[in-house]
Amino acid sequence: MRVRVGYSNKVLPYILVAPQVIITLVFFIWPASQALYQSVQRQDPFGLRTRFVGLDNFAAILEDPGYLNSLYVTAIFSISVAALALGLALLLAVSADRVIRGATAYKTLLIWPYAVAPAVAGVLWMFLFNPTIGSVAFALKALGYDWNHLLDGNQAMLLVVLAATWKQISYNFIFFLAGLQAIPKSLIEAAAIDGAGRNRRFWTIILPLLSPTAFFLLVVNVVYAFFDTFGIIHSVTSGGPARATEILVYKVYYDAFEALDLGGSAAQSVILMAIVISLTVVQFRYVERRVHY
Amino acid sequence: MIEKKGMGTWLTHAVLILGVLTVAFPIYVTFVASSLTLREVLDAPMTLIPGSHLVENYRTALFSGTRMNATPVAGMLLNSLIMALVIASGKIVISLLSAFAVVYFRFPLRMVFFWMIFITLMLPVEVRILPTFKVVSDLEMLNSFPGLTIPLIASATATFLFRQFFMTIPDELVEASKIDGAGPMRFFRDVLLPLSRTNIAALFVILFIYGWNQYLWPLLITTDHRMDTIVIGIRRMLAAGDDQIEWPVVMATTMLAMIPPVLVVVVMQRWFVKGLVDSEK
Amino acid sequence: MAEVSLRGVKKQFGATQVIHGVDCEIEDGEFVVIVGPSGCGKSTLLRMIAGLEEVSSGDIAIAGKVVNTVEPKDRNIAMVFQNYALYPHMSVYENMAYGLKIRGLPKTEIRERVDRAAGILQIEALLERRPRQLSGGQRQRVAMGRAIVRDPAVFLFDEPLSNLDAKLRVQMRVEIRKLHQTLRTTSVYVTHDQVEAMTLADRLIVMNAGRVEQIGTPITLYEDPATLFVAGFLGSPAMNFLSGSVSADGRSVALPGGVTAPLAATHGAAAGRPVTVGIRPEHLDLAGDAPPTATIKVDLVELLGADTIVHGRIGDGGLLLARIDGAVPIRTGESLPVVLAPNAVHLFDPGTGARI
Repeated sequence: MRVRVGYSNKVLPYILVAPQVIITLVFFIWPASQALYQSVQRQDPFGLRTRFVGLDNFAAILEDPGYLNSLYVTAIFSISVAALALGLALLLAVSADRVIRGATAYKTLLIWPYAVAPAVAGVLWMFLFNPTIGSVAFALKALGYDWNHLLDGNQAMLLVVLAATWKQISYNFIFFLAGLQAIPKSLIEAAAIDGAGRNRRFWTIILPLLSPTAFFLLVVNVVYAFFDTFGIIHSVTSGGPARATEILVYKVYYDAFEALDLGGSAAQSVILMAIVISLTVVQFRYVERRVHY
Repeated sequence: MIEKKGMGTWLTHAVLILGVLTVAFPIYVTFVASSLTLREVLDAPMTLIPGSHLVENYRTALFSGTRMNATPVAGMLLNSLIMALVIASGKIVISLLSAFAVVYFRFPLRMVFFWMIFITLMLPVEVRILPTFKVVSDLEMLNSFPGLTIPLIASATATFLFRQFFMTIPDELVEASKIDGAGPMRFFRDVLLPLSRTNIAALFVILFIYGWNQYLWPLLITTDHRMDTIVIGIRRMLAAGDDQIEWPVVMATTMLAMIPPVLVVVVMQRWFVKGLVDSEK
Repeated sequence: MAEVSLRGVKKQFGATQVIHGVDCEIEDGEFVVIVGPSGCGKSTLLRMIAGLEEVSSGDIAIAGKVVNTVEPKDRNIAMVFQNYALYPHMSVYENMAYGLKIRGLPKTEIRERVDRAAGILQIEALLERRPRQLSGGQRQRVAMGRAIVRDPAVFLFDEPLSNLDAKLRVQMRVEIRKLHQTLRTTSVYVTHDQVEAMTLADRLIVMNAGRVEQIGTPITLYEDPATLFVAGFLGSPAMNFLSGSVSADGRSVALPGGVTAPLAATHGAAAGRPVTVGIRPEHLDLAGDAPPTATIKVDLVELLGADTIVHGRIGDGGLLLARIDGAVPIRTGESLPVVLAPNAVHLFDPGTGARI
């Protein structure tokens, strides 16, 4: 990292970074190292003694059907949310980029769900699909489809996916639109002169040029689905019914605060940590590559 | 532009209008429910025409809360506002300071601190949930605003954003200020801060929403109802059990929970988009 | 008002030595230009005088006081930067007043000083504007105004005109010179542009690769360049260099194509040695009726109106440029007889580049 023209005070820089560094140490690095430490410890039933158990906690959770179920649920949930949120946002962004009149109005009307808390988004959709009073649930019943996400795990999954997607579309829309507007008009015009029609231009010119944005958003969406959707799950399904929507983040919370399984929760934390770290590495390596273009 | 007109146009508009309606529909239904009586809400199918009990429901929510919960939403709004403001301004202040130190000073532990801040990116609350709770509890910060806000104030994203921005400021400006006789803090106050105004505004929008929408953290840290933020408050109201839920009041509370952050995004749209796009670079 | 002394000034960045020892006495009120190609260390030298870079060894003194460890703000200097370095969020007035404000001057005095400087530079009408609302030339003036209000002992200029277009550059050059005649403040000016250097300087310091090649008035350097580098760097078009050898009697030099040029002085010591011969294009003239020194085979002619540049050859290796006054009808392919005054021939050691 480049050191630029600067100052050579001896004490001042330490005072300046102190607040950030102290908070980081106390609330980030220390707890994270505690999680690492506890993940290789086990407490006796009375909480009196702990002993070193190596990777036993990890082995235990990886054999636990509940955890494997949670992994499976998380995969289904994340893939569905990322695919839906990216696809719909791309469709809307391409449309908004095409229209001449009203583009700004559409933009304003599409971006605000970003501001809605995930938990609140969950409440909105839960109300729509409430089996006894929800408008959509009623409409579905009228069409002969019996909706009750409190009993049906697949329906519960669909509901949280919808709520999570609804909230994320605006974020993806903003980035796709910015990406589309960054494509030089001359390129599109050159393709048009070369005889490529609208569809062909989209598939051969626009989409490839948009792929860095899409890849970046894919990573962000996966991170979102993994970590930022806790509020949706907690407020809509609490992981149920029968653990059908128990994603990893919800399980780590539940095991720590409701089931009080210290070592297991710590091991789960460490696995989650590994997931975030690899996602961050992917993201940064990719960002670096983007800089070199 | 080529082929902007023509037969695809109405289809494009149709897609957009459908998108806008889908995005808006849940909110509209919520709004309608917040203007009805409980009986009207429970009378399936619920009407989609706003009723006449809007003011009444919002007043009930704001000043008395639901019967089961009995915590006025006005207090929750205030808690959310305090939390969002403290987190947003706290993050901005400490990130400005540390970015300033990392960019403009040479000191032995500079890179160590830089990486330490970077690592926080990889440690969201969810991956260190129990030990962090324990730290806050050991520091006796449970059920307090410091406990609710301070642990969330560290920010790698904001630090990197300001660092990035400071790097674009020409070296000559620092040198000119040195020759003009300004020391580091004076340069920070008179030159860096005013130049960072748009970045601060952009980041503030993003961070305000981040703070307002916190869920897991307040869920862990607060048990006292007087500390409830509005997002947590809704959850408590819904925990009453299906037959006991006072939907109109809950829906009014839901609307109240959305209005401030949505307003911030819509009013400060320009900064919001800039902040969002910049902070991901 | 102050003199500036550089005594054995050296600078290294890590293991790389970028300035190899500079000695120079700049007198009170003098306008000294440091000139050289990019990377020669001229800006580093200026920044050391300003206090923006530390001196690795040697001393820098301003007004008789060694300032090696003195902060820039306490050196009583002002600096004009290449990109102006105006504070973008402050008005022109605030930009000029900032340094005075930090020094705690009373408001009325600041107002007075800024108004006076603005008057000198004719920017009174711009005082309330922001830098981005100004043209390049106006920003340049504001940058100078910021220096003037401080009434410093020394002005430092770091390539201040290189961001301006050619026409404006000439105009600002004249203004800087006039300003110096009015204020008589000791000035050190860095540039890579030799024309700017020649026109502005009382004295020039020519630098190359971290070393001083020569110090002197522009005319001295033009007429008596101490090294091949100085000879080639100053003057436009650049001096012709040909390889030749001094005759046995030391009174003439043999050039390519069998040409012999007489020398003004006898170079007995160099007799018989190979040398690099320097001839300025403007010192070649049409032979007319006089006996020619050489005949140039013309490859290309550039008619500039005021003068005519002839690109040609003598012999096989001897590429040569001649600058002839007026628009002369010369054709490509023609053989052009020219004369050369003996005192216009410069001899250099081909190994060391030193003047013989």
